[in-house]
Parts: sequence; C-alpha cells; structure tokens
Amino acid sequence: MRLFKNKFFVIALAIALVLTTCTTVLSVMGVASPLRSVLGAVALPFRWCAAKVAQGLAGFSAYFTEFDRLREENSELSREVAELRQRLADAERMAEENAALREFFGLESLEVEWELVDAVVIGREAGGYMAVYTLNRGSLHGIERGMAVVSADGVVGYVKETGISWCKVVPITETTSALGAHIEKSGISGLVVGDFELRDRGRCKMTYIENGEGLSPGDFVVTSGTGGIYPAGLPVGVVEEVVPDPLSRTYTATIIPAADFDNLTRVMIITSYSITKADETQHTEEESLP
Amino acid sequence: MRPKVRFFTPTAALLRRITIYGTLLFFLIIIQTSLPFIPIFRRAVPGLVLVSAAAIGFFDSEYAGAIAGMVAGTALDALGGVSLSLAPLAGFAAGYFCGTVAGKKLPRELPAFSVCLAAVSALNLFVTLVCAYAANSELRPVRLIVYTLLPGFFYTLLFGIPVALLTFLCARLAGKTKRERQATAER
Repeated sequence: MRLFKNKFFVIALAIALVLTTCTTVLSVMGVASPLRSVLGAVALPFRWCAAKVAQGLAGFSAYFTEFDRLREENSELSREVAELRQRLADAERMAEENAALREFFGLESLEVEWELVDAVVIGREAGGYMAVYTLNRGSLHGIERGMAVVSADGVVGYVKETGISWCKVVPITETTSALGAHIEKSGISGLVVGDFELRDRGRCKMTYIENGEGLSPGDFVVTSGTGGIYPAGLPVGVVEEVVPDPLSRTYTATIIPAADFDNLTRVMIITSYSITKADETQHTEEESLP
Repeated sequence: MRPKVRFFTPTAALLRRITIYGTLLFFLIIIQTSLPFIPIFRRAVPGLVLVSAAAIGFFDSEYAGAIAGMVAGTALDALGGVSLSLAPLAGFAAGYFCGTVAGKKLPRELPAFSVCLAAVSALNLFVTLVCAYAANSELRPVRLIVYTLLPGFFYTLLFGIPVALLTFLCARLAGKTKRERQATAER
C-alpha cells in the first residue's frame, strides 16, 4: 500500500474521516455542530437570494408549461369556492347554534392559544432522496427540536435540527415522520406516516385505521394532539382512497396533504401552545381594554 | 545548535488560489443546495461541488483538489446534509485521485477530464445510495435507482461539463503556471 506511505494522504484522510464522523454523529443527535451553525448563518443571505432566484426560475418555466393545467385547476377551484361558501354559511349557522347550546347546558368552550414564529424556506435537502426543508429561523429565535411547523393550508412537519439562525424541518410526507390524526367527520383515528413511493406523488398515508368502512374519499384529516408535537385540530389533508390491509385487518388511506409542498415558501413554527377556556380569554381581553 | 523553526507563511499566490477556489466552491454549494427548488431537481441533484473538487485536483494539483474537496464537502453537508455526512470523504477522494491521475495516466487537458467526470458521477451515485439507505432503510431499490440514482448520475455528467469548464478557467486564473504544473507532475 504505497498510498498509505504518503504523509499528506494519510493526514488528509484522517481529517476527512473525523469530519465525516463528527458531523454524522451530531446530525443524528439533532444537534448542529458549531461549524454547521456558523456556516449556516454565514450562508443564510446567499441561500435566501438563491432560493428566490430558483423559485423565480421554477415559476417562469411553469408559466409556459403549466398553462393548460392551471386553467383546468382554475375552473375546478371556482366550483370548489362556490361549494365552500355554502359550507361556510352552514358552519356559521352551526357555530351559532353550538354557542347557544353551550350556554344553555353550561358547557365550557376550549380554545387553543398559539405562539408562532414566521419563517421562510431557504433550502431543500441537497441529495434529493429525502425531502428536508431549511428555514431561516433557529435557536436565536427560540426554535427548538421537535416543534411543529404549519403553513396557511395545514401541517407541514416538525423541526429536526436547529442551528443559530436556521433549522431543518422534516415534512409529513417523509418516511421518518409520524403523527396521530383522526377523521374530522367520523372521529376515526390512525397514524399519518410518510411513504417513499407516495412522497413522489406528494402524498402520505394514514395507517392503523380499524374502522375503514366509515371512511370515504374527500374526508378531512386533522391532528389528534397525541404525541405532544402537533396540537389537536390542525388540518393534515384529505382522504384520496382507502384500501384494506389483509395482514393486519386494518385499513390504509392515501392522504393528499393540505400543505402545498411544491410551492412551500412561507411557514409558521409553533413555539408553544396551550388550551384555555374561551370565557377566560374573553374576560382577559375585556379587562385589558381601556 | 538549535534547528531553525520554519513557520508556514502563505504567499500571495497561495492566497489568490484560496480566494478563487473558495469563491467558486461557495457559489457552487449555494447553487447545489438551491437546485431542489426547481421541480426537475426535486428527486435528483447533480454533484456540482464534487465535480469542481475533482476538476481542481485535475487542473491544479492533488493537494489542492483534496483540500478543496474536503472543505467543500464539509460545507455542503453543513448546509444541505441530512443524515450520513459522506461529502467530506467523497470530496477528498475525488480531488485527490483526479489530481493523482492527471499528468501521469491522463493529460492535464479539458477533454481528458471527461474520464474523471464519469468516475465522479459514479462516485456521486454511490454516495447518494449510501446516504439514502442511511436515511431510510425501507427504500425500494428499483424506485431509488430509477428516480434518484440514474437521474443524479446523468445530471452530474451533463451539468458537470460547464462546472469543469468554469473550474478550468479558475485554475488558469489562480495562476498555476505551466512550469508549476510540470513540477507537480514530476513529483
């Protein structure tokens, strides 16, 4: 082995091995190495600019290639808006009825209070085999490992690793992600997990559903609040199809995530949340008014 | 008599090389980590940094290539890595071995680098495969090959050409003279 008699080769190889081992171990622990933190902070403005340029390029090409699809989607959305307006009117009526009944029976209404930090997606994982997003918020902004990340549409994922001014987020479509959820309409619960094959189509799946007969395509899936990461009631997605699993005698549903992962640019990180009585909140607000 | 202690003092030429290669690699890292924002690169990303490290080794020297590859690999993993951090090792290997073959087995010329480019693309494929299985052992091999590994290999071959050209120009700009290259080859 003449190669190992070369002093430069041996020293450089040793340094490369140390760097590889240290970075891997710290990454698995969910802790950013000081080098990783500093580099992430230095590169932050450049990555932000590059992300903007890349998003602009993607949008520019989509302008020419996706015209027909967008026109079709537009007409579909118009139909959906009309339908949702009707549902909103129904929901408002039901909310009023609900409030009246709560008052009549003396029930307490619970409200979830959030503390949110807004963030911009500045990076996506460089290898392509795993979708992980980098956000421009880190430990300086109070971000910790295990915090939930949401978009305007629904649940995005959870914080996997934090640096000084950045953090990495694992989306719900990833195989390493799992969250407790239930069907909004029927209350049927299950576990929403990522799947490598479904991820390519921008989907995830809901497993361990015991009563699959009560499920139908179009049902809304929301977080159940179990697990401690995601608060209950956050929109996860919509059921696309339900298939029985003959081995476990349970059902598996394919979920279309509520969050638009293809065009994800702005998200919110839930730094803390608490469940309070709605009456107390109103009372506090009234007290603070002049 | 006490031996004379020699301190390392960077020369202006060395500082110029560090600046040029550093800037080039930094921007390639930023580009590589931002490429997945474009839909066609969602599943596979070309190994631009690896190609550049190999090209530095090829057109400059194995020492420059190895150090550039190692540093750039560390920075790449710091910004874009997820689980297993193999980029420093891969960068070091690409830079060192491409530098070793240059001038001995292959002429230090742009067309000859195509052999190294193919080797680097294969190395990038291997690194992606290992990292993918380290991140998730339940991956289905066929899908991984079809959707990630093969596109990654061909993207690296394709987008590696302009990167190699750019690195070649940077190596020229870095002021590596013909005499210096001959001296490196003789060593």
